[in-house]
Amino acid sequence: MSQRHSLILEVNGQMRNALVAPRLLLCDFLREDLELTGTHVGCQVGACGACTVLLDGKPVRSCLLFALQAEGRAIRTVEALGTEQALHPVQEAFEEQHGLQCGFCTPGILITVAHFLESHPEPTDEEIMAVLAGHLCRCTGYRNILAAVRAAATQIARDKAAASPRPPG
Amino acid sequence: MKPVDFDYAAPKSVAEALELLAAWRHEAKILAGGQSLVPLLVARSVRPRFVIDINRVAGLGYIEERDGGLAIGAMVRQADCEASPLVRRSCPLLAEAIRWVATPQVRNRGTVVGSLAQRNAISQIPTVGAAIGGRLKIVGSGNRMRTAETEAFLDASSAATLQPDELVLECWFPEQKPGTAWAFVEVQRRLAHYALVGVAVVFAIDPAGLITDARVAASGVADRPIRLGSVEQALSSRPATREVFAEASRAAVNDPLMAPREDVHATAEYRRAVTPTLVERALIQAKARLEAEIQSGRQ
Repeated sequence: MSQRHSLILEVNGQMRNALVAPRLLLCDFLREDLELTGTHVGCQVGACGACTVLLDGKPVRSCLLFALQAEGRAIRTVEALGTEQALHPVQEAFEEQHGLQCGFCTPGILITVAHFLESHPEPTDEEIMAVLAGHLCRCTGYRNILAAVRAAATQIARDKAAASPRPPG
Repeated sequence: MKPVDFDYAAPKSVAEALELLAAWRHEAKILAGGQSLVPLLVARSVRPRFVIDINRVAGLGYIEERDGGLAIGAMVRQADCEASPLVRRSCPLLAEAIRWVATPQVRNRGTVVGSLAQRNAISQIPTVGAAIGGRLKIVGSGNRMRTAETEAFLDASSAATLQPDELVLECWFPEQKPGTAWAFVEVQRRLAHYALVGVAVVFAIDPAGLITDARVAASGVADRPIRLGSVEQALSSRPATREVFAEASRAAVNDPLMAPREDVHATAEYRRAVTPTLVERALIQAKARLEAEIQSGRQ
């Protein structure tokens, strides 16, 4: 066995440390060591997108990264998106628009879409489909996912408008 | 399946990385973006005893203008290159080609240099390298530096190709001069899937309306991206018209470097047959884009 290495990183706002083997993938570290099983592992070769998490704020495949590569970085998983009582608008929209069936691909899609809508508040369908191309869904045929992303964008815009003070006059 | 057991280090300097590489040579693998290497490790088709992670090596994350082109450090992510205003201005063909690389999530990790270093026959960035040329800065044991022309580097049989004790430090692409027509097109089974065939074109149109400096490259039709010299010749000094584009594109079918292979995604015949279609499409798109640029410049 190769030497284990010390690993310190931030996961969902909490500092975590562990001793890990170099070959341990980030997705397996999250699921098995930290018991954050919201991140799903589908293909393990970067094709399906189910394992997508945010690394320093950017969506990446956690199956294409060794845990040790996240040393000193911040990871955000689907567990940090919303709570059961207060879902993230993207989660709410997926529920309302039936944007999932079996739900296996959903955690990765939620992470990608929540990140995408921050930089694309009014996305076109083409832009949405381009970012969804990084995710495979075998159930929905993507139509409801598209509808859910559109609905989430609208809701986030509404929430923002309600939160910001009205212009003077 | 998980990777075989290996030892790991994340050196902070090029010198440290080279030391490890010199010590482990064939048994070491360099880990940069990892978007191709990690799947190979997971499938155990690559079984290194040591993985050298260069993500923490200082000073490899630059994109800068140099010698009439763009120098891109080994740790520049594809997504950062795609979004860079400098790249979009100086080498828009590269920015456009990267848009076709895998998916946005993969481009957030994958590197420009890594894509070249792997010399994949179907990859977009090497296809740009084949089309517009360029070079790579390579360092080996004992801090031995060398420069390789991209075209030679991509040829596995050439002496310019990467050696086991070497690390690519940067790639350099020549700047596309204003007034250059360019396009990158691909045919894929579905969005974000591997390309079956890809084509990159650049050319200029002289004051008389004739095509000059045409460079045409195709991926997926040989063991590496190739330049289609037959098409370039057929375009040279001819008027930039649809008829000429169509006629010149047809030369691709019998280009001496064409050696398409069959796999599960497409037959060799299909790859050969679709190439002129893509070349023609790229030429039309390139000219239309140039005309639109000139138009908007005049207003």
